[in-house]
Amino acid sequence: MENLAQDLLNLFTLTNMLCILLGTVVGMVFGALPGLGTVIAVALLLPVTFTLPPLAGILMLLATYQAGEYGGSISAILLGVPGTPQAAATVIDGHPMAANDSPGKALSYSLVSSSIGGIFGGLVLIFVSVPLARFALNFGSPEYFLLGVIGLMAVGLLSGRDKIKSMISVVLGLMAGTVGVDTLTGVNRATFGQPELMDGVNLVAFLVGMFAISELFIMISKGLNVRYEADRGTLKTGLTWKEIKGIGRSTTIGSLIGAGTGILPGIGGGASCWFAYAVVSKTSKTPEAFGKGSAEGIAAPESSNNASAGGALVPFLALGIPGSAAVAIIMGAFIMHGIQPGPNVFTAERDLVYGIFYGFIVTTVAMYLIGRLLTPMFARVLVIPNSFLVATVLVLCLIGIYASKGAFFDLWLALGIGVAFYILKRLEYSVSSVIIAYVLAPIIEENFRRSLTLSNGSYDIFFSSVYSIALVLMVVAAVGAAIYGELNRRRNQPDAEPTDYGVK
Amino acid sequence: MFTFLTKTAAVTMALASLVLATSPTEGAAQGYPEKPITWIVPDGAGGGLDTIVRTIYPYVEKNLPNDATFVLKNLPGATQTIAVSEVFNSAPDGYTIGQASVAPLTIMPHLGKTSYSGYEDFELIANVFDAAHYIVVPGDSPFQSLDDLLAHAKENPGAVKVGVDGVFNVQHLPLLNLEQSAGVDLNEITYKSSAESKKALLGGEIEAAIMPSHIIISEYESGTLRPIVDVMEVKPDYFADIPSLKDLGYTPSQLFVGVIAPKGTPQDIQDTLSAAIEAALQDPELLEALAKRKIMVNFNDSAAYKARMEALDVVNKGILTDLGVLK
Repeated sequence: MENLAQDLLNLFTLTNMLCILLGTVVGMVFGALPGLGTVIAVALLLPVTFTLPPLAGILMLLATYQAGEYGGSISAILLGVPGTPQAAATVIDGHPMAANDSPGKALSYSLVSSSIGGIFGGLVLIFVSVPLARFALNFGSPEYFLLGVIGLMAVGLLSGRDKIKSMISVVLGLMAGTVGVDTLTGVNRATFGQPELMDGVNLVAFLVGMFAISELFIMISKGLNVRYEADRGTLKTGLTWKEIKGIGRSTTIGSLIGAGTGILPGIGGGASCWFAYAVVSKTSKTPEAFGKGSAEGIAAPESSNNASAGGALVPFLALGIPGSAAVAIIMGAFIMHGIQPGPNVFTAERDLVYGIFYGFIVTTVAMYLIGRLLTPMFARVLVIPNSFLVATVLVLCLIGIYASKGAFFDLWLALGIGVAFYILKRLEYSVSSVIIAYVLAPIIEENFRRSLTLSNGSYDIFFSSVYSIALVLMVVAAVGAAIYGELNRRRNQPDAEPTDYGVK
Repeated sequence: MFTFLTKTAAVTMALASLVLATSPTEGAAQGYPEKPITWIVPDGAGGGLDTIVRTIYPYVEKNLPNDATFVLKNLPGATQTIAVSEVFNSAPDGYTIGQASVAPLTIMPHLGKTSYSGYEDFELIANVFDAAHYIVVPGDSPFQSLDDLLAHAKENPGAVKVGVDGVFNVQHLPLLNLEQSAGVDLNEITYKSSAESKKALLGGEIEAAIMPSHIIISEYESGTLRPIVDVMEVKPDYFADIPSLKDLGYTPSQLFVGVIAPKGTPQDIQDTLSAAIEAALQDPELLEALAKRKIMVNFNDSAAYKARMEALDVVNKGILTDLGVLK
């Protein structure tokens, strides 16, 4: 108890609190700007931390990370353009709710579920990080491959009326995911002699092209003088207790899935939001509301991406393995201060680690408070006429893409992808299927081939551990359930059409 | 008014030429630099190499004449070849320099993946630091030494799984070279990063992995991971007791990171830059900051830097020829 009091005294200093505030504001704004995102915000603040005491600097970066995860949903909800890859699933229900019902309410659902997810991730970090990190080591290449396959099956769950179009979308995403140098053989694949493509299609350019630029074309084609109808009432951001209870189940599932994928380095928040969305939409009591502005559809991905932030710190603090790109940069702050992340950090830097533990919870609280303060202002974005909005968003997108890698090539790439996806959206292809397949393609392919290298070509490796067998059974069960459900549906109501979850 | 201005200008110019005439530097370096110098960093903002360059550059600025300033330009990707190509395509006027490791200069050109043909297409200004990579085993591994590992591998060809963080790179080539010279067959497992191979090693998926020394210090101290041999030429002081390949009679590889400039950059400008880097790397304040980060500062002047590059290039080219992947 004495320790706790001392830890809290160390934590609640003016410097630490100011750093958390600054990090939160920067993270939220960068998260909300399409293309800029969490990683760039953290990288931008990294040099600032060198002049600060270690705890203050690291808390600033953590606050940026947390707030960026929520910030990504702001543009996803208001503009239909995810600010970060981790907010891509939030578009599906967040944007319709903002457009048809109330932008303020949609943002509040996101903020509340993000905060709960963040707190959950923080509690996981405090109480079970060491055993959990050890447990996560049991997941090797075969298990990662199977997890990727399960993720890809979420596409099947999300796909709309037209199964053929959905499958074409998946194939497009998988193809985009294989561009670049093959990790295992060093061969260039589909790079067309462009060095910029050797590391694959830049995720930021891909995401901004498919969501933002294509969306801007749609806004232009609808006419630039329209604006969303929003009166004072719909900008209100409060939620009633009943409304919060309504997203309880969805937030719990999202938080569990987010923290679970977060502790597995290399899976990432980009995939976890889709896992959460798929599970919640399939198990909801009101599945028909999904895709049309369901509050549960916002809460699931938003709670999961914030919980995955806490989860990604678990392998980092316990084992010195960064769980996500943003955490890898935060590791830079440790190293610059001469602190070696790894198993010794708990004993060698005890005060720092506990400061991070409790401080992480404080960053979530700061995110909620600043979110409450800024959200009404953000909600007003929709009152801006499209003629201004399109130009502003386009400029921000271009800055974001260029800032990600400093390559002009990526700007042209995003424009090309934007035109292609404008056509695909018009033809009612599922954009979400493409992005899930793109995110999962490298996880599935690399881990599959690596598994077979490890086993010298034997497929037994996929049945070699309890975890891989359990995952294989999950794949089989999911396929079985899908076939059974489809047969049942056809027998009972041959004319009914399934709900459409694809983004239009 | 007009005559006053002309007179002032004339006096200023006379004074300026007097100052210039008495300054110690001569030729093109006179007045250099007149504008900010672009320093191309082959790493994203916030990455490992990026933060190192950001730590060093103010000290180099301090040691350059004429209030020199650097503008850092991040061009990550494609094993640093995007950044190095940018240096290759820049004007050799002393206003563009770049940071580069050995892979984009002695490996990637031989794989036919670059617009330039090798390190000969650049002016090598100075080497800045070295890195050490170790073959690492889990703390409870039966392999106490490299000999144990090689003996086991000899009896069980293809059974020992060793992780590397990429294919045909600074970790993969030394491993292939070791296999060849020791006459063993290891199963090389490729991961995307050292973080991934560390996870695989701790999880028991592989028996050993090659890893940069600075990311395993904490594991070494707590006993969860054990470095058994340094595959590079230079050893960090914190692992001074652990043998290197050279100690054991094998050919070591080298991993060093220096500053390059476009071919044809005037010699006196090269000298000015090299001298400024040398002076910066003696600044105790900078040395302390780099020591904290476990960076092994190792200044080589242009000639030494070039000699090392040449030697490594021959070794790497040989390995790639034996593998049949040389382009």
